[in-house]
Parts: sequence; C-alpha cells; structure tokens
Amino acid sequence: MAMTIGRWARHNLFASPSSSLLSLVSIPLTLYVAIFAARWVLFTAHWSVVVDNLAVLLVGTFPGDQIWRALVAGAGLSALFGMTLGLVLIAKRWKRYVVIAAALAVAAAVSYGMQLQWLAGAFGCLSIALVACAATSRWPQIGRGMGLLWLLGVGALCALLVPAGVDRWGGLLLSVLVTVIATLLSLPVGILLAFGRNSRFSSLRLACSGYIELMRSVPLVCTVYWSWIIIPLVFPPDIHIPDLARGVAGFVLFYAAYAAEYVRAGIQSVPRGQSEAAQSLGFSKLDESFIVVLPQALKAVIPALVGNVLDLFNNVPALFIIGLTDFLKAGQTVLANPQYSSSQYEVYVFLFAAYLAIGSLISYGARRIELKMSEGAR
Amino acid sequence: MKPDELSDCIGSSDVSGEGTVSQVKLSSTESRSFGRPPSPASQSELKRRRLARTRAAAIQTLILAGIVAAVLAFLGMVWAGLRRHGIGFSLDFLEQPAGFNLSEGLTIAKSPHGLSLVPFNSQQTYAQALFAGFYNTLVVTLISIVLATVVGVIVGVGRMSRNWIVKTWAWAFVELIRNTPLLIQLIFWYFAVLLQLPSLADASLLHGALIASRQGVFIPWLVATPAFSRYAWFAGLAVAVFAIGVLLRTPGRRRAAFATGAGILVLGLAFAGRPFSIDMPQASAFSVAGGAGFSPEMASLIIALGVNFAAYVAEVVRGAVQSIDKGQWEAAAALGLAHRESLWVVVLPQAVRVILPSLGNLYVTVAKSTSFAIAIGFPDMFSVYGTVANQTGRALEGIIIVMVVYTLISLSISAIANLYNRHVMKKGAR
Repeated sequence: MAMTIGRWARHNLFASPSSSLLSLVSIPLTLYVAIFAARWVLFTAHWSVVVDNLAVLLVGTFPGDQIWRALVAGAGLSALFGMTLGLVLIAKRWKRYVVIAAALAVAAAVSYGMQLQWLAGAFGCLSIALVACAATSRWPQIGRGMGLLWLLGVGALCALLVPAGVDRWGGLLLSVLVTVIATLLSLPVGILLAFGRNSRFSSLRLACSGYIELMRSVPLVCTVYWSWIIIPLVFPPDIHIPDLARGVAGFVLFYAAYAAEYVRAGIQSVPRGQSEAAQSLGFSKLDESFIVVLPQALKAVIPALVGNVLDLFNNVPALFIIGLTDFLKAGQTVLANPQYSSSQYEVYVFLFAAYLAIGSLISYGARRIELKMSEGAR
Repeated sequence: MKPDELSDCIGSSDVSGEGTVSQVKLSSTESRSFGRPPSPASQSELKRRRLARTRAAAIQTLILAGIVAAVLAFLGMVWAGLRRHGIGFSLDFLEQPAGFNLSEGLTIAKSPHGLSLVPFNSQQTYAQALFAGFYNTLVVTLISIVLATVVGVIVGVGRMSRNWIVKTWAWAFVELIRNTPLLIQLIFWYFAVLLQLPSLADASLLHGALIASRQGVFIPWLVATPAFSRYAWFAGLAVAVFAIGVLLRTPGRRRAAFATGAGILVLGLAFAGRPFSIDMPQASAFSVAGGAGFSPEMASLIIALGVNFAAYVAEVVRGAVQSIDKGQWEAAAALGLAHRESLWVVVLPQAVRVILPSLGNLYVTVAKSTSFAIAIGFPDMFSVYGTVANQTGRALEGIIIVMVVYTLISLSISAIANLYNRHVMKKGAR
C-alpha cells in the first residue's frame, strides 16, 4: 500500500484542527532552525579551532614522542568496541560495514597525506572499529569470550600506556579509558554486593544494603573527591598513587552500588525453580549462585547494565574535581587560550556532537540487545 | 543518571516501597509455607537442624566480626595516615570565622529575637558558610524539580503526540539531553548562553516583564501590599475551611467546603483589598529594582538541571503511559472521547501511579546533581565545602559532613516520595 506524501501529511500533520495549528507553527520554526544551523555549521563557524587542537581534545597532554602508544590504544579500544557492537547488530549488513570501513581507510590515508595526522588517526580508528564490527557480525563465534577479551585487552592497553606517564593521559582517550576501567572493576564488586544483599545472613545483608544505599544517596563528585582524599592516607607514604587511580577508585565505589542494584533486579527475575533445581542436584550454595543464577541474572539485565555504562561515560567529566583533563575539560583548556576564546560555540558544538555520537551508539547498542533478547525469549 | 530505569527494573528498593518489594516479601513467605512440612522430625533430624542453626549463628557472628574488623582497620589506617601527615581530626574549625564572602545564600544567625535567616558575610563562621551552601542547594533543588516536572510532562506528552513534527522534536530533545553529559550542558548554559546575554542596560524581553542579562535573570514577583495583614484573616479562615474539606469524607460536602473556601478568598478581595501586587523588575544601568532575581550562576544551574531532568521525566511519563493497558484507550474511544481527552482524563491519571516511584528517584538525583555547581562557581554546599577545605585544610572532616547532609537530603526526598506514593496507592485501591 503506497503512502503518498499527501496522505502521509494528512495523517501525521493535519489530522485534527489543533494538530494543523501546531504544524503551521512548528513547520516554519523547524525550517528556520534547520537553515540557521546549516548556515552556521557550513559558513559561519571557524572549524580551524577544532582541527588545530584535535591533539589536545583527543589525548590531552600526552607526550609527543610517545604518541604511538595513544594511537595503538585508540586502535585497540576501537577494535574492542567494534567487536562488541558487531555482536548485537544485524548480521546481514556486514558487507555494508566493510564498504564503509574501506571508505574510512581511504579517508584516513588522504588526510594523512594532507598532514592532518589526527584526522587520519580518528578515521583509522573508526575504520578498525567497523572492520571488527563486520567480523563479529559475520562470525559471531569470535565474540564468544567478549568479557574476558575486554579484561585482557584493557589490561594490555593500560600496560602499554603507563610508560607515557599516567598523569599525562587526557582528552577523549582518558574519558573512554575511565569508562571502561570503572565498568570492568565495578561490575564484579556490584555482583558481590548484590549477592550480599540477597544473602541468608542478616548481618551481611545489612552491611551490603547499607553500603548501596549510602552510595546511592551521595553525589558522584563527593565520592570521587572523598576517595581522592582518603587513598593517600590509607596507603603507606612511599607508594605514589596517581590522581587517576584515586579518582577511578571513587567511580568504582560509586558505580558498584548501582551495578549491584541492577544485578539484584536480575537475580530476582530468575525463577525460583532454577535455584531449587540446583539444590536438588546437590549444588553447593556457591555453585548455585555463580553457575546457575548469576549467568541468567546477568543476561536479563544486560540492557540496563549497558545503560549504566552510558551513565558512567556521561559522568566522567566529574573528574575535573581532582584536576584531570578529560574530554570536556580538554575543550575548556582550549578555550582558556585567549587566541581561541572567541570560538567557544565551535568547541562546544564539537564536544556535544562527539558525546552525542558515542552516547547514541551506546544507547542504540542497549536497545539492540534488548530487542535481540526479546526475540530469543519468544 | 538513570534512576528511572533502575526503578523500572527493580521496582526501587527505597522509593516505591509498594510494588516489587511487597511482592518479594510475598514470594518469600510463600516459599516458607511450601517448605518442609512441620512433621514430627526424628531425633537425628532435630539434631541436624540444631547443628545447622548453631552453624548459621557462628557464621553470622564471624561475618559481623569481619565487617567490624574491616571498618576498624580502615579507620585505623586513615587515623595513622592523618597522624603521619600531621593533621588531626577535629570539628573545631566550624566555630572559627570564615573570612570569605559568598556571592549569594542565606544562613542562620542569632538575632535579637531568636534565630533568623540572614545573608552570609565574612565575619560569620565556617558552619554558617556551609549552611548558606546548604540553603543554596535546597533552593536550586526545589526550583529545578518543579521546572523539570512541568517541562518533562509537556515533552513526554509531546512524544506521544500524533503530530509528526511535535513528536520528532520531543524525541530529538530527549535523545540529545540523555546522550550528553549533564556537566557539558551546565557549562554550555553558563558560558555560552547566560554570560553571552546582553548587559543589563539593553536587556529586556516580553515588554520588560522578563529581564535576561549577563548580570542575572529577573522575573516579576508578588509583594505584599498594606492590605496584606487585613487579608491574612480571610486567608486564614479559608485555609481552615479547606482543611476541613480535606478531612471530609463525602465528595459532595468536600466540594461544598472547597467552594466556601474559594468564596471566602473572593470576599476577602472585596473587603480587604488586594493582598499582593505584581512587582515588575525595573532595570537601571547597573542594578535591578523589584521583581525576583537569579544570578547567572543560579539561573544556568536551574535551567541546566531543569532541562536535563525534564528529558528523564519525559521518558518516565512515556514509559508509564505505554504501560497502561490498551483496553483503556479503546474504552475511552468507545465512550466517544477524543485522543487528547483519553490521554489526560483516562490514561495519565492511571499512569501517575507508575510514574511516582520513578519520579522520587529522579528527584533524589536532581538533589545530588546540584553538586556540579562547583564547575560554574555557584556557591552550593559542595563548592562552599571546597573553599572551606582549602582555607582550613580540614578536607576529610568537611567531606564527611557534606556527605552526611547529602544522605539526609536524599533520604528525606525518598521518604516524602514514599509517603505520597502510599497516599496515592491507597486512594487508587478504594
């Protein structure tokens, strides 16, 4: 049944008098906004401020001679992200991803030829991500042990980056790294807390729920600052702990409580028959929890946990409180330079666009997982 | 943050109180009744059970001892660390004069007639400075919550509109807000919007009713007229009648009581005169007289929080409306109600019960998110704490105080939401 434009408009824009009135007001307004935005983006804005400072925005004050480490880390993270995304995307489209990846690789080569190294690096990373994405959507068995791969991969990348100086990490790289590290560390703590909160022993239950409720009622900024203060007091004086680790500890403490609540919801969603079946098979309490209940519980709350990752990524800018230069702070550092202070809209729009792109990708992934799982349940 | 989703899937442990939690209790009692029948157990069975009980008690004690030991060890390490750095732990600094000024905020001070709220000045103590920050946090939280709720319900209804453009705008708003950090929104509002407004001399919108300038935002406000004290008698009487109306059980009598109260208010207008007059802000070159003013910091914080959480409220509203059974829409349509009437009269009132627990969680998050104010220099509790910690070096003591106060704020918002939720549930159950 072909839908003509006229019929579509009658149904969706002029269905009733009030709807028509709304359309008559909103269509010109939308056109005005669209034209204004397009003119600004294409003609008025001076994007040179972003291009000139791409290095600061992407990696902060990373030492110049060590930059290859950042590039390798970026490529590795892109590959990991791509692989994960490939698992939830539509498998049939993998050829399309390869084509786009090839185009991006060409773009990377061209921009490298034009001496725009950072643009080349960004295109290259995107291309790698898409190739990885295509690979796992074509052959899902590659992504079997994705969690372990993440753990090992991020560990290796951190080991690669540490020689450049932990205090020099910054920009988008820092934002992504903090998100990934805090997620990977907070999830196991959260799982333990969730089981503690469901425990048979009231003392453990009380302690775990007390911790979770406390963490959920203080702001993240407070937790990060508190952990930043307290960690040097707790450790012996001859151990130097970088600011980053002190801040990430706060993120882990904070998000473990949230992860625990999600996991607990998952545990509650596992039918009682499952644990009863495990008991009747003679499983120990520990095996019952970790072999029977946990995998099902985690599977049920994966979309919520991915949403939690988005939340974490969106809250990484709170690291400014301990003086670290994450993506947002890097943008502000650029604007602090009097030379660039007149072009703040360009920088903010670029930051918004980058955050929106990554955030939308994460929430799209969460939605796809949810869809895929509801298909599987049918 | 997405407490809405959290509460969606958990039924929220602290806010809802009703939904999932009671179900959980139900199922646990159920399982108990289905458990081993209370048959006369054999001697060995009794012995085995006693042994199990003893073992459980021993494990309990061990766990408790472990937790206490861990906490004590942690405190001991912190104490040793403090000693090593030559800092003690004391709250004496709270009594010392602060010596710094805050751009805004009221604090508690002793005055000839008891305690009163006065603007903070540098002669007052650190404790009073922290209280001024607390006051600012509360003010911003309350206004942002109201703003977020109003805008959020409008956007949420917009997302369900049948008009494609309105729907798309609402969708784009929600996606843009939810997929970008709150902090960049806050910084954008402050540096790229509020501070770029025209200066006071040539700033005015809506024929002078609203002054939006880089020195602040000013709106009309109500001020008491001389007739106010006379009118207060009528108002008091009306409040009493309203209170009686709330207590009355029969809807007819209640309606009559409310009508009487409204009548008294109108009579008061006739006899006593207008109690309030609208005070328009009047701008001169450097200052504004009249109206109510918000500093650019406060205005951008309120706008950023209000707009950000409006997107979350919108999603909560949409989710709740979608959770209402389709049959309700169809029944409304069968009764001849239009789409909009079905939404506002039939579906939304039912959705409120689903919305409330999530909203309570969101409000807690709003209160917590005010702590980002330090990024734009608004003196909320956390940023006042930052200054205090810088001056006194009492970082640890201060952060503990601040965290305790935030916990209290969060708990009280949860408690209020819980109470209200219970109230609504009770009403719905009738």
